[in-house]
Amino acid sequence: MSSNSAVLFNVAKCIGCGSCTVACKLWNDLEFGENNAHGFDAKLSADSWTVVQYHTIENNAGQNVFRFAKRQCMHCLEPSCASVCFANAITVDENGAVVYSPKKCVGCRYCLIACPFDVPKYEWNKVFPSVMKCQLCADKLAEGETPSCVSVCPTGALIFGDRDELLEKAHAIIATSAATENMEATHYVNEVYGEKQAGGTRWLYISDVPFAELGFPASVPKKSIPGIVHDYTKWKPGVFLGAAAAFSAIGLYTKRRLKIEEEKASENGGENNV
Amino acid sequence: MFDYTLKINKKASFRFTLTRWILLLLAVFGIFILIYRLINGLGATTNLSDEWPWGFWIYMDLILSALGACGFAVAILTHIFHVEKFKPLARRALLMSFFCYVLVFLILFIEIGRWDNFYWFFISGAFTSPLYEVAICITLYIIVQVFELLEVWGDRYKSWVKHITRFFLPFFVLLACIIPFGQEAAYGALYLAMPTKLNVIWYSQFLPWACLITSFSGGLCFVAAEYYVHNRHYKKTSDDAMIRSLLRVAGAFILIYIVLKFVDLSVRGAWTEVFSGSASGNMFLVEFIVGSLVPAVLIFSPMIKKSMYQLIAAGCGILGVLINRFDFVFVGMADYANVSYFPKWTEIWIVIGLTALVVLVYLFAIENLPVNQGKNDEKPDIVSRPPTGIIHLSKSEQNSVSE
Repeated sequence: MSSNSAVLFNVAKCIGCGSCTVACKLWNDLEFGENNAHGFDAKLSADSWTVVQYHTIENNAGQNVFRFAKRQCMHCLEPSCASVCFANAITVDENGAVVYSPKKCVGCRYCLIACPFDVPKYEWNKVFPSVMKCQLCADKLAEGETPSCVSVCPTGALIFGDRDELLEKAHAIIATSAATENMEATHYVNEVYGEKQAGGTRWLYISDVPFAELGFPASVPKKSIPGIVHDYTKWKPGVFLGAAAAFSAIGLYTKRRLKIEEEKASENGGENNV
Repeated sequence: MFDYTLKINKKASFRFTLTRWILLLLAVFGIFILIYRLINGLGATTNLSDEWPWGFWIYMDLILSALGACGFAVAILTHIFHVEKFKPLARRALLMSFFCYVLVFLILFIEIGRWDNFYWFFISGAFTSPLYEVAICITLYIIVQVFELLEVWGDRYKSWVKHITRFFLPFFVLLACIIPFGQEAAYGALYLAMPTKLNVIWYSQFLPWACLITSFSGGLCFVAAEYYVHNRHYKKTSDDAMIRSLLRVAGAFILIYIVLKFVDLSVRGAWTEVFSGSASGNMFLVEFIVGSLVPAVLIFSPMIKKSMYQLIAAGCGILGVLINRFDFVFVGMADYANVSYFPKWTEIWIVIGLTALVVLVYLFAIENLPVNQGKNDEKPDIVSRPPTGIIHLSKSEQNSVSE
């Protein structure tokens, strides 16, 4: 069992069958609603924790090709959703999966707005709604199994393993493709999406077409979002203690000054009376 | 025919005028919708969506908290810097601030999706979340304010309460002056977690501190405006010189904000976005000119001697805070959301109802508690016309009158 779990998704190998989305719904007991979990208009929703989005993209050779982007929670190493959670309902488990426990959730929806990949979705139509997102099959990982989407992939586009090893593997694939002179072979973009994004994620992507065209947000900062918020939070104890000290000192000083002024005024008043 | 005085006992009564009956009606209506929301969930009663998880209610929390800063802003002036001339405002600002925060708390309660789980955040200890900082600081602040108000209440109704609370008051006042630094800045920090979503004009490490500074100026302007409206309503003379000094303090904070925001935009090179003609750029210009430059110019010009310009300056100061919060909650986030959002009528009417309720309680408090201590305040706050009828709540009171 690996405690540094990760999944590598090879865009060039995906055929868009959508098996992963079905496996996900079956394992997590999600409804098969009206919205397709794979297709051109597939979008993450409360019922679809993973979707396969279809894209028609022009490749290097000038041909229009199908490419499929499997989307789900990226399972950040330092997840924004967990750090901003009002009630610690989102936590990172021992295998690295970012898991949500509805029992603790207060429903502030900060995770929805703070996620740079827009992953968490909300059950808006329920009276007591929960946040819905991929849990990386944390219950299966705990048993030493692979996530259900990975286990059903027929083409090997999804590989589950140790994050460091997968990163090595991804870079090796990119390097080999760059070295080959055969124009017909797959040429990968020289980037592993998820290696640095938002401080690093457990889902890693390699692709032969630019990630922006697959709908991956390009502007996600390399620095982790909890780190950005911490740049503010770290000043807070100092602000509180500094304000307490300064206010005590100023309060004592101004009160003393006021008293002296009053005494002077009463002395002067007394003299005048005499 | 609507004009009744409700007599609770010898020392407490409440006058119902036509406006107040309407407020009561709105409050009852709002509470019915509130219960409807609690039973039916967010989807049925709001236009919130996965694209706009936060909307009108969060905005109301932000602006009410900023205006609620009036309490601690005045408390710092009167109880830390011991500026004697502002003393008459201290209790009133405290009361206004208290009701703002009560309203914030009520709105937070309906805003969260799992209101049955609301107690979880007290025990969670989620110290990395700015929202947690907001909630904990507001909770502590309301407790401290209740204690401070006990002193005011004891002043008129129970002298032993007054003596006990006065003994501990310096400590609680100090707490009341420090705790709000938490929530006011944390409101801005909420949006630090959205580097890819919030427009570059507002997104910066300066945002929390901008919120803190503008809450001071907004809170002080709120006190000044309330003072003016209050004295008009109860037909009392105003102490223009005192309000002028108060607005000067607010003006100092506005100047600090103008300078720091200028530096912030320059350092990050965000001026191109300001003048790009985009919705965000234009709204920032409105916010900056109406909310910061106009009040700053008014306050530091001779015009401020006239009470009308004082009211305009205070109004602009308040408006500046309202537009600023509107800008980073809605305008600055709209480009990313790419979907429109307008609050559903239920969202708006719950807020109107709760506000009406809180305004009624505020009026009751201000007409019965000894909160006004100025020279012009020897006359109690009462509506000057005699009521058409009196309703007695306690029997002894009724007997003594009939005798």
